[in-house]
Amino acid sequence: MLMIARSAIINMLRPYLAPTPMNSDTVIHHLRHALGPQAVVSAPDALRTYDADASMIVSHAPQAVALPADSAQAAEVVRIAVSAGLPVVARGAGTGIAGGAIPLRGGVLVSTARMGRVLSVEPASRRATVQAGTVNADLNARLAPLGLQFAPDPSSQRASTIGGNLSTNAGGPHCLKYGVTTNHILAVEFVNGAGELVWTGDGAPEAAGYDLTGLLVGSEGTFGLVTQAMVRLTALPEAVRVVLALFPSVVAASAAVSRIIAAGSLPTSLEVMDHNAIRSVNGAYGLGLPEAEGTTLLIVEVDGVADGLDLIMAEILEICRGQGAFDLRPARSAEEQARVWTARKSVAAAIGRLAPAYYLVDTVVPRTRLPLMMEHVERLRHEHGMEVCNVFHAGDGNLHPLVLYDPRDPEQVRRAHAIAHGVLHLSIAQGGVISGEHGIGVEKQDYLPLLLSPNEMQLHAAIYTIFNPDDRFNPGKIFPADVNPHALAAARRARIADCRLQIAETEPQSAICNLQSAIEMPASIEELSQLVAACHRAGAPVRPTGAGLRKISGVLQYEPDDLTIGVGAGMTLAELRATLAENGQILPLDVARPDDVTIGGLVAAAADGPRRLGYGTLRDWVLALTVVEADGTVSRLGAQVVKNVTGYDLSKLFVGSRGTLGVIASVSLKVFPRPKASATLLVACPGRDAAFALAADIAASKLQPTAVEYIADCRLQIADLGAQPAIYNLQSAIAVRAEGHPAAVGRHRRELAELAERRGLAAPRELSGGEEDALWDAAAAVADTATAPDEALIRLSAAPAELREALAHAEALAGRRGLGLSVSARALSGVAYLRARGALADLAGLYGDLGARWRHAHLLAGPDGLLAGAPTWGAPHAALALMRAIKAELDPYGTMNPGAYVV
Amino acid sequence: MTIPLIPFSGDDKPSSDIINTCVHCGLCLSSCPTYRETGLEMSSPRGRIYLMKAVDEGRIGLQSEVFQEQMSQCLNCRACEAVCPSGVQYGAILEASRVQLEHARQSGKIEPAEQASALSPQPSALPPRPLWQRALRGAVFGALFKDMRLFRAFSGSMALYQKSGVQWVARKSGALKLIGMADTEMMLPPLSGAATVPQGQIYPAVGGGLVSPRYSVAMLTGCIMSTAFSSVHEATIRVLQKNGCEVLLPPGQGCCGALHTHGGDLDGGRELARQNIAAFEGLGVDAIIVNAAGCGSTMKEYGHLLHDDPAWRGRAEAFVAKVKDVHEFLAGIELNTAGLGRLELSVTYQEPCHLAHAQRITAQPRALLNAIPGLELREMPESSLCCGSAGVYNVTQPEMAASLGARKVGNALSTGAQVIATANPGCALQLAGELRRRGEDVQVRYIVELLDAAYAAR
Repeated sequence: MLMIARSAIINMLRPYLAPTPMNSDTVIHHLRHALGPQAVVSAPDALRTYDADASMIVSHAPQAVALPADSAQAAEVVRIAVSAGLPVVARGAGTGIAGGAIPLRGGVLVSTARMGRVLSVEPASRRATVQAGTVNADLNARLAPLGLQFAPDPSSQRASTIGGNLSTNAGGPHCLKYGVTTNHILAVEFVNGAGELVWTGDGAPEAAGYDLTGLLVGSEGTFGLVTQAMVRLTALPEAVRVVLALFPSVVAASAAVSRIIAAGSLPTSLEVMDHNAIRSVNGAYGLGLPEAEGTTLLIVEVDGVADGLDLIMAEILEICRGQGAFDLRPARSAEEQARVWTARKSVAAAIGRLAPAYYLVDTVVPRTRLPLMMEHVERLRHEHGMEVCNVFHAGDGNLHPLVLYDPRDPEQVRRAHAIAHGVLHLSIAQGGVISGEHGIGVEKQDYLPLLLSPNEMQLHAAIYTIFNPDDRFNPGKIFPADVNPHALAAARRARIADCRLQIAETEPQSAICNLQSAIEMPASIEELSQLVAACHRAGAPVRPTGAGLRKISGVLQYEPDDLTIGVGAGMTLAELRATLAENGQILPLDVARPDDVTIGGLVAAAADGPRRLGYGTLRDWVLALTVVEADGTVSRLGAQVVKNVTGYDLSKLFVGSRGTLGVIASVSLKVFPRPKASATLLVACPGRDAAFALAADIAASKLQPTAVEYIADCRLQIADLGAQPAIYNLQSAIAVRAEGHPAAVGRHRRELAELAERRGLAAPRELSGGEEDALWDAAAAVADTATAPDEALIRLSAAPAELREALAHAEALAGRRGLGLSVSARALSGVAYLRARGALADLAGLYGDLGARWRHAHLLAGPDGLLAGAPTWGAPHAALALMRAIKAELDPYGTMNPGAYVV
Repeated sequence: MTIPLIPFSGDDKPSSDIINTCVHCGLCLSSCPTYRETGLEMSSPRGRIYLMKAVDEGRIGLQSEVFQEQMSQCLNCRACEAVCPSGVQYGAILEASRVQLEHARQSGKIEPAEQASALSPQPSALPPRPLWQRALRGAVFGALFKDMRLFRAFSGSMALYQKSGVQWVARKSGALKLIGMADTEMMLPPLSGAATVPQGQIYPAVGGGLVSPRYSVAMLTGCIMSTAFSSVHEATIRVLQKNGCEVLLPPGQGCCGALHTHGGDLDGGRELARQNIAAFEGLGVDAIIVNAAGCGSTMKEYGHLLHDDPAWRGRAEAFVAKVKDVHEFLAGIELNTAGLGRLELSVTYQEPCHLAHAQRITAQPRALLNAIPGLELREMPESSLCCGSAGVYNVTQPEMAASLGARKVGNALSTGAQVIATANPGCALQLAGELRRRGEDVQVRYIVELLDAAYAAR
């Protein structure tokens, strides 16, 4: 807190503290003093080697390069740069291709090359803490013997660093199944503008407060100097199958990709390489592929338990044949598969064999538009008479046309840019974005206004000014070169203040501002915008609720073949399920009262379900949001495509913000094909410890269940069991859900039985159909926010390895006070919902005692008297001041759902 | 006053085409030993190519201290080449850059005085190397390695030095430390007085004169291998014999020239190349076998080295076509596994750069080790990272060499193996020196020595 106070004071005094600028020699002297002489580069010829990254678009050398060894040294470097009035630019391995690591305005370049240590690996919690300069491949080499991986696998991974990966929210061939970097970062440590180290969280899931971690990821070094990250670890699959499918054209291959996704398979990777891409790596990596004009390679990979994997692949290959694949070549051995992937990941870097330079267009479109886009690329290529090399993450809809050119020929440079321009324009028209994984940096900055409206630019700028008020960190990036983000943020502030001042005195405070009121229920986003604007003018608080938005509940854009849907925020979960079911798709979120809860409400509360183990949470599925800002302005955050690094990831900020930053009006989501088979296996356990021991066995096995839920003291009503309806009271049990190919489900059935037997537990009881639904309804009921007068709902989260202990503590406390306690806990994810029943004083005592021991005990619901006045969101977040600054910037008059959250 | 930049000039200029093949992707960084150690961009392959590009495009000159330092600091291990997606021939432009620097230094020798050049730098000359370095280079490159008789005599005197007790006195007294030779001295191998002298010997394939050999091969004896490691040669010959090979040691051959070409003395290297080509020509052998990784990679590049010499280009290419690393050769024929006895040993394999990177031979040495019954191969972390030996690097960059040696031995020891297997004299000396410094009881052995021991154990 002291540190934060200091930064606040410095901020206040900033105008009076204009630093006396140091000359370069003085800065270098200070840096040497702080880091040692070997950790500072100052020779001009050496500094020039830092003037570019892998983009080679523009070059600018720094005044000094500092190589700190740890976070404390990095913070010291920032403080020196602050006192010298110099910019700070971070550089990992300099493999970025958007110019993100180029010190455009000089200053101190901080190389994280000596911050490459893996500080801790916690296999049981599936997480590791690493320094920012840790090389992605080094981390994975360290994890492989533990059967674990850091899933994001950008093509540069053998050199690129975790800090760089997270700054650009990097993707990679395997992100189709595993998600991009942001899905694998649990917390980030960074140096702020005052030279202080700040953690965005402690890595526990579902911590209270805004998602600063999600905001930091993809911010391209403009929010601070990233020094450490806590990353999520994923189990290595038991088996992998790779097939090289050859198509006669890139359009045919793209069409196959769209069909494969639409057919309900979710491969690990679907990667396309056209004949130029094949040519660049064919010889060097011994692929032995045909190189004829048009020939296009589709690399298909599936992974998981071995059972059923060949059958899944066979179905995919059948689709490929149907789409014109003329040759299918399996890569059988692990070495062969590794060679294919090394070759694939080397294509862009192998362009040196074909041309002196390339311009990489990094755009994402809905997958179904891929054939259209590829035809367009072909047309542009012919029109401009240039060679284009296509290599891309087809499964994600992430195109990567690389325009080959010679930078020494101005005409070729012009044509390369003309092609890039043409591709981006069509992409945006088709709902695409201008960067999927490489970032905006310098290369794409002038394209940003093509995608963002002026209001949206202002919103991005508003967040920028909070983190980077002095343009200290990586200045001159992301925003167009001629745009000053501070001016934009000021314009936004003026906009909000203006309309309030003009009308506030003439229009009385009005009841319409309570969105719960059915009378004034807005029927469209426009009406909602007007309503919020009216509240804003009146100075009335806005309290968004699902019920109040029920009229904004239509399907806005459903792309079944693309596995994405956009809906009005007022659509209920049941309505969404019904819509998806028509196309054999699901949203794997199991919560109580699906007929009542709305999608907007679920997103605002960041609700989770037992299947987060296999599918993730809403945080991972929300692709875009339409929000109504405090003054009624409508802004779109993100786009309905599965990868996007175009500006800041502001939708993360709104997921779980509980209506305190703006009203969520519509939601675009990633959805999933309904698995071919599903079974839930219930293992009764003599107690919590036995249950968690079994859960740990499952985690250590090669099984990939989608849920492993610890359920205690939970009523389960099963109607069609035997002759008569039965009500069970599950005292203590582990429920395991297996989904996917029937053979894979069968494997889970067999192996779980073995694991249970080895622990001396009763044989698993298999539930399917109605029984299965009943079990998960019962689990969801535990976490229902609608509570009886004698009930309280507490969410307890901790590092997964600590969850058993946290529950033991909670159960002991409840027992001591004579409280009933039902539990539904994501046993391997570190989140538990506790439903306590009893007298008000005991409920309050339970919550108080829990909160004294565990940082993340949240009182989500309970009797009025219990909630009043008490802190309900656990221990204060270390970066609360930053959250407050965000709240103050986005909602300066504090009218958005006041008092509803930590901020 | 602006000082005129010294550009690349004359023959043996680094090729602009090769320099421009680098697209600056940076994928080489993590494979580069000096980058791993320092984290400095200019100490990475990409950074060094960028420096060469800067000289090539006239933005900096050869007098740049950063350029000189980096061209010298590079180990030329060529790990970057092995991983470069664009196939940049880094070794070629590095060696050419070193030639450029060497030429500039030599022309500096004819400049009036060292002090003068320091005060008013001449545009076409670099400050010459310190006198002792020049003397050493002259003696080593110009005489010792060019004439094997001299070399053997020198080796013999070193053996005497070791046996006589002078070594013990020198070590104990700290005299070596005083003259900055302590680390280098530690690397000296325990030398045997005997040397393998190629005089046209023919070793028959095992099975006696009645069986016609499956293969007829000739072997390079080289310089240091033929003296310090003549026992390795003997082992190699026995292993080849056991595999149905008739082994010839043609006379007139000499040092492969690796130290010359890597150090910037391309002409010296060419002279030795011609000598070796002539010595091995017309033997009618199936292969020219070499058991030292560094020599093998140099010999395989004779074609490139003599590319501009019309009289020798064709002969060089014919020579190169027959050069086979001994592991490459043995793994490519049907290995005599029936004759291998058990070796109950845990072994970790240290990949010589000039085998793994320059020749891309990585699977064959492991296959041979795995063929030995009872032997357990344990992979070490960073097995393809250079051990820091790299020819004369120990002498020119002692600090970097020492830290890389320590890193390598640390990685090797982490496996708990009893033996570190390798295939190159520089690596063997570097590893043994570091192990001795640490007082570790771990053996360093050539793979052929282990094979030889296994055949003997039958």
